[in-house]
Amino acid sequence: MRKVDRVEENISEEIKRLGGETEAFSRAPYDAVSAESGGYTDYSYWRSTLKAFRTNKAAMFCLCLLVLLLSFTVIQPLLPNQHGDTQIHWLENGQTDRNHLPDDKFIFGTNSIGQDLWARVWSGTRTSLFIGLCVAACNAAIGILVGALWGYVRSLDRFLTEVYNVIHNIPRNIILILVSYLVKPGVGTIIFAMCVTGWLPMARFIRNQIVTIRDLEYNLASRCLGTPTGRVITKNLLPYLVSVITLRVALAVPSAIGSEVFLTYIGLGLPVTIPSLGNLINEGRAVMMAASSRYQLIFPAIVLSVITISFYVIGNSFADAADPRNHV
Amino acid sequence: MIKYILKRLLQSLLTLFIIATVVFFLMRLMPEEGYFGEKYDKMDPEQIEAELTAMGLRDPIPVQLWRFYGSLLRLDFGKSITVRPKVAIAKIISQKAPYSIRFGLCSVAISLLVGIPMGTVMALFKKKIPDKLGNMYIIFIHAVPAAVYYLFIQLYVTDILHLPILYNERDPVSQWLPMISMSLGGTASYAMWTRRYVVDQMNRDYVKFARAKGVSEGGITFGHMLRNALVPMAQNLPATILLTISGSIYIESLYSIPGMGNLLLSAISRQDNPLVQALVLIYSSLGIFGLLLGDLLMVLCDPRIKLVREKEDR
Amino acid sequence: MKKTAALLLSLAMLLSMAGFVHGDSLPTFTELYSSELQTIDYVDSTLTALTTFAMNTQLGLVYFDNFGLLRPGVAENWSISADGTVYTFYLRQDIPWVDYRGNKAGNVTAHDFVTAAKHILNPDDPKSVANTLYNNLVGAKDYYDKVTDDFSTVGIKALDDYTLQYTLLGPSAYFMRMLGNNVWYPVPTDFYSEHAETYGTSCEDLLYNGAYYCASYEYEYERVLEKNPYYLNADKISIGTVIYRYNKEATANGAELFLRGDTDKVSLTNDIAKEWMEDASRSDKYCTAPQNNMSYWIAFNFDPQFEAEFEPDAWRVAVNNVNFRKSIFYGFNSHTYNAVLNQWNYAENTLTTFSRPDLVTVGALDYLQLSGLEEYYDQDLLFNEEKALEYKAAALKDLEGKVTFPVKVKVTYNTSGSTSTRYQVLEQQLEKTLGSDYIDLILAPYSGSSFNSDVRNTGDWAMLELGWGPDYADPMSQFDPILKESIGKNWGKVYLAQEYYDEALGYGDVEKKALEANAITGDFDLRYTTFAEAEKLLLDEALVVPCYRGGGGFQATRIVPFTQVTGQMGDGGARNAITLAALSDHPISEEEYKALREQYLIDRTAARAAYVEESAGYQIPEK
Repeated sequence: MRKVDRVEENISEEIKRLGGETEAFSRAPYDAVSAESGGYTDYSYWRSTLKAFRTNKAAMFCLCLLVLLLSFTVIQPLLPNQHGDTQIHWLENGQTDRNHLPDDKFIFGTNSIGQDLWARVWSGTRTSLFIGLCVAACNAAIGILVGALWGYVRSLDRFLTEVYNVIHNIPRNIILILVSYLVKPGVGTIIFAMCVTGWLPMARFIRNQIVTIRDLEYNLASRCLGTPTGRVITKNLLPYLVSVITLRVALAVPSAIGSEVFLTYIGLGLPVTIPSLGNLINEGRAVMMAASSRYQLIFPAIVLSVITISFYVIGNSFADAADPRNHV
Repeated sequence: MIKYILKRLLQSLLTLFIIATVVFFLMRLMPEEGYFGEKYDKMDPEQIEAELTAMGLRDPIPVQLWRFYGSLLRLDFGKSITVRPKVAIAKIISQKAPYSIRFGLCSVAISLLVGIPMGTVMALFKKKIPDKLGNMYIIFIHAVPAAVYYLFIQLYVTDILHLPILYNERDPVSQWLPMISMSLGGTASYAMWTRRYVVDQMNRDYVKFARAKGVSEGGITFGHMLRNALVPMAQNLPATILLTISGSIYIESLYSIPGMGNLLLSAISRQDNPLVQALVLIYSSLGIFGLLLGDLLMVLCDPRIKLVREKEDR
Repeated sequence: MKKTAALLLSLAMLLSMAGFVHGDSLPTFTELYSSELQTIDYVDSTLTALTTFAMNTQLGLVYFDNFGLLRPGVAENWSISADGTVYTFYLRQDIPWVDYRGNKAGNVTAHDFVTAAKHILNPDDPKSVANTLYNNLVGAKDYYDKVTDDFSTVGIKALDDYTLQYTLLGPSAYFMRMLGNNVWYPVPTDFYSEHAETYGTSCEDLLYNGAYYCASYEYEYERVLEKNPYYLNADKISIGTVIYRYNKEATANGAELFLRGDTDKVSLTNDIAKEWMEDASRSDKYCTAPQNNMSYWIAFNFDPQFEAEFEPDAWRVAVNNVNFRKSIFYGFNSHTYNAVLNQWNYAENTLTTFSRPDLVTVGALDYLQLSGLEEYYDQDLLFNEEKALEYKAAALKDLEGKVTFPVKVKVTYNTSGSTSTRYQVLEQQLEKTLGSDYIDLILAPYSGSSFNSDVRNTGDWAMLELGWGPDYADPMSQFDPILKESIGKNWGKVYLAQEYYDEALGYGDVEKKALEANAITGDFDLRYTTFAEAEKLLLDEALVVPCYRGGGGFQATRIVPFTQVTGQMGDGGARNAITLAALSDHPISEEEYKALREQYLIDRTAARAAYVEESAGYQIPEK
């Protein structure tokens, strides 16, 4: 029997002896005076994090930009003189008003079949941000849960490594092609498709992080004191990882938008009635070799870049702010 | 340790076996039209049956599975059925892999040699000009889709420097640009993570202590901080290096490099079952082996990490 | 740094110059290709890329010259039995096989054609083109189905080394033309048995008797063809080396590669064509691209099999009303639709008939000018808003109470294909012209890689764009997708159209007429005239809505247009092969193209006139 286990056993025996099920200790109310002598502060991790984050001007700017962008995508259809995002505009001669350069009527011009790019870009941003946020949230939730267990619980390591190796090594395309037979294309499908295997890298990342820190002294100490696994993970390990996790999650949003393009290629893309940034960029890429049509790539690409950069800067600054060592 | 490695290797065999079986079944779920591609429209139903029979797809699944296991044991990947009918898979791969490995290794090397120093410098000059410049580069790489900037690099850089657009076996200069383009993404992410981990280490007590002890700044950076910062990255490195064999889809397509980049993709879309199975097995065994190497490398870099639960815990 | 770069650059230039040192003074032609051949076994399939390879490297019994006229190839002449079922070919005795180094390896004999047939019909390794053989040759189906394993029962025999005989299932109007197809090319007998395992997998594993031999072939990198000095028309070959360079992104950077001289032929996308038109330095570097063999139409589904929410029963009633169909027939603006694909010369690509022009001719007349079909052929555009609204009014009257308007039209599209943009135009254009209270097109996405078997063949659609390229130059092959006896049973079941449906036969008037025409094998004028009647019926009843023909657009090329050989489709098919092509020292401009085309049409008329006399010696009386 290991020493730690023995210590744990002793402690639990001691607790039982002292008062059965009841807690050995009870929480004392905060008292500034006695805190002074005990070295206790009302330091709150999250409050300090937010405070540190707020002082970062670039990050705050990006956050505002993102919020503005998000609200504009919602407001845009309600503004006067807006065109539908799939409506085709016609010329007198019966042809479509295609590749109409940006002007007063069409702020971003029209695409190759005469649809208003302005309306499409905003509608696409709306769709893509929604998809990106959902995917990032799903992947983070599943990834962190699995990764934390995988990294910390040694008995699960072998099993989860096995599961990871199997799923990770089956080409995503095979799974996606098969998924495409089972479900109809749509926003829900695309989110599902991105989550099927999308959580794996996150789980693996968390696992590796935890493996490197789980044997550090303070965790050893925690274990010695008999802290339950769940508590060690949530209180000792995850906060330490908050900074790197936020960075990962922030980057997951733009990468989800990027993989839309690929899914469209596989045939799992969104229906044509739902424009998205991924599809707009894909359409733009097809015409980018001609300078006069390049605006069809540039407008959606600018919006995508703004989103990506914002998430990156916010993620990075938040990661910095979330590091407790930067709080002092 | 050796026992541990042997155990992991044996375990990998089991994993590979499971992967091979799962992929085998998944490929059998694919619709039959996929085996014929464009030819499908001009064929009679009897012909389709005959061809499927000839491909061995009309045998009962257990028979097919048994045959598949048999060929696995003999380490015989068989022949391609739709991508390059009748050509031995070993031959297809041996023709293509060297290109991907060469380009991949060079680009990983460039990424590492540029990315890590770049990240370190960025961290040491945190919030100063080098950091800002580096960040701009990283942001650019992340913000602009690779498919877009690859194409622009190919057209404009070749134009300005008078380099050939396409890769040419007879012209070594033509391989530089693809290699450099290929390394851009890796450079950015190595720089990003190095910077982050080094910044993480900078506030550690041991660094402060070392500085107080009078260890030179260089000694602190390279002897202590970088070594600790690189640990989390070391884990992925072996797998990255081994998997360079899988090639780069975009770069190889743009520059006409006959590598492995598109092979798995086209094998899947043309439903070349033996080729898909072979590629998945190769890639996954390299991936799993890479993971093992990564774990070992991590232990080498950081003795505090334990992979084996030692009998006597202190 | 600069120094090293300069040094390496000059080194590179030296090396690249070394690449140009050729013993032969004939010029080199380079072309890009973006999808690799699955195999170079040239009888394996009739996919365009393989057919092109075959036409560059092989010579069949007959071939088609640049005017689309049938010329003797390996065969010197031939005879046809009185009942039209036995074809006997007398082969030239001096056509050598050549290996990948250009060395002679024996002569082409009659046995090589038998070997090819055996190779294709091999029941244990079936080829997708086997049906071409067993639909024509006696006994081939039995051998293919393993009813017999005696190949001598198949209707192809080498009477001696240089006499070959085919026995057909019945008289055929198009067998001679069909022989121009790569499916009927010879396979070297001894070489084939020596290389049984690897035949057709690399350039070393093939022999060549055509204009070029394949000197090197690296998968997804390049194919190099060198002139075959022993080729029948070797003296007319003016391009010494042909390099096919693989580039998956050829559509994106092909134009740039052309401008830098790295390739000699590319097609231009709509947007790049626009750039070139507007730029003085490039406006003389492109010309019209040839059209190909495909014709496309908007199809109606007469046997709708889809969910109740799209109201299949109402669609069945509506589509069986001729006025309803005609309202769409005239309400559909194919110019608008085609412009999505081909922004600049969509008008030339627009079809107003079911078949494409130049399929077959009767004397000086195109098949489409027979039996009153010219009424459609002579129009530039079928779209006619007035007529459409007239028929709409009639349809509203006919269908009142039988269906609820708007009629729902399910248009299923493949999410990974390119049709979706066109369908959006189709939807909004039709609804704009006919009113969204009359029809309501609903675009329904399908994802997955078996659109043809899951959607098209099962009838999970109401309207769809379909395309077809005939397998041989005869209207019968063009009719395949609408005939019950052929693949028409999977493509919307046109023969079910109620007004003409013959319960006893299981098909309608169009099919009756087409089968009647197909039975005529001796008299070509009558055969084609009767087919034209069938096609006119098809259009009169608006059973299909003509749309566009394949190919077209713009290209940048140094190949002098109309010089290369044509395929079995004669003049109407795309000219992909470069056998007999002439190479210009500069890109062909649109003016040059137009002038050359005019000259070509004049020459063709003359060549056709002369052909009557020239061809007299090709077919000899039975011995």
